[in-house]
Amino acid sequence: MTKLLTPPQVNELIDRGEILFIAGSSEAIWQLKPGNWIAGSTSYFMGSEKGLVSDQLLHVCQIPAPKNFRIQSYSVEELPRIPAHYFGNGYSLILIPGMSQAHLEFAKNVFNFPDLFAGNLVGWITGNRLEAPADQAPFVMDGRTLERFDNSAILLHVDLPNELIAKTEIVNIFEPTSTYQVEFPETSFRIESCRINGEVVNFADFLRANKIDTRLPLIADFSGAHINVSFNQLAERHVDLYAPVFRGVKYHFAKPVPDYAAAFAEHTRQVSRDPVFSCNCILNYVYAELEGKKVGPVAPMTFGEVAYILLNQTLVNLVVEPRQTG
Amino acid sequence: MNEVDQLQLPPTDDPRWRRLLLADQPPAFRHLVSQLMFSRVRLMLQADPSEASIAAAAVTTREFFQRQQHRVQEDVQMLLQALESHANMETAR
Repeated sequence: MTKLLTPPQVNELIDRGEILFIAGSSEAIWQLKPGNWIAGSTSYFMGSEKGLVSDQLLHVCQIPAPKNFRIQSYSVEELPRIPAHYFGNGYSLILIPGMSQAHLEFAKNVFNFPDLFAGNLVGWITGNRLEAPADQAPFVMDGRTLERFDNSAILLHVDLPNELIAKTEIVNIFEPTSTYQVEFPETSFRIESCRINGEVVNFADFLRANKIDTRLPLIADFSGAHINVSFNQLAERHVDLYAPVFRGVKYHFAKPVPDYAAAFAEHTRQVSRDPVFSCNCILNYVYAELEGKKVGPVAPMTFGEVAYILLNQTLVNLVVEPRQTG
Repeated sequence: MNEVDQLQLPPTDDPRWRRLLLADQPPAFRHLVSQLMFSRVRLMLQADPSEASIAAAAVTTREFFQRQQHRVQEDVQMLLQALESHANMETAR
């Protein structure tokens, strides 16, 4: 169950011993009592009626009927050990402070984490209001101790009863174009040169010369899964991205989406109706002007989404359903 | 008999694994976890296409589907079909 609540309402859940996965502003999170929860910073939400910005409300995911759970923080060096702490049948919810070293290391190296795919890893990158001063670092918090982390991931590992099974889904409304094929010389968030249709070019120059709409992501085909990387900044001689591009992967520019709400409605019909948890990207919120519009499930709008790896401009769903037998 | 025992995947030295891993097109997996796992394996092979790397990729792929079959049942069927089609392609040559 996910919904937007006030801090006093969340404190009632904490008092009842509920296990909670929380999103909200620093102001709201600091009003919470110690308990079985983890939280990360964002002020942007998709509510039950519309998209909204709020420093007073918290998005709360109540973990339904776990067999067991474990809250654990991971320093940058400890990140590769995350899958070692998966429960055998369950899921792990992750929060990472935006633009921290933990964020960058996770994004670049997660593919090398041993046993990454042995469980479900779902979550998001934290942030602040877009107009907030740069010295206000995004953070995550361990609710048991109210300890705040600016450079560690915090995880809620959940163990499910045997009759249930979790799965991770993504909804990506963007489709690749075929005009240009882009390849990068290394795995990086920052790009100077790249190869486009076989020719080495300066990426920033190419984007400007070809009037590429940088509100639309780069898309790679990962064995049938469309994985987005979004543009952060187009500088004079380089391009900064919100997720790393991977060496050896072929990327394409995205087709424009004329009607975001219609595209979203069409794509969400293809996935499960009742996720335990969802998150969607702040760039979708901003570029598609979702404030005041109802698009998709109740969810925090986040600064990078995690479905095993770091994603951009993507809706992530965690679904728990009865295990099929026979 | 547990789930792992029930799934009969070919041993990792079966040549069908090699053809599957090096094929132009991956199998049409439905689950995100299978799609990402298979992409990771193929990226490793792209960086290091040695025989040792291919053998390691076959072990990784086989182990994933053996251990995670309860999560990705449709993809196990897709894998078996793909392995079979690679066997048929070889027979036809």
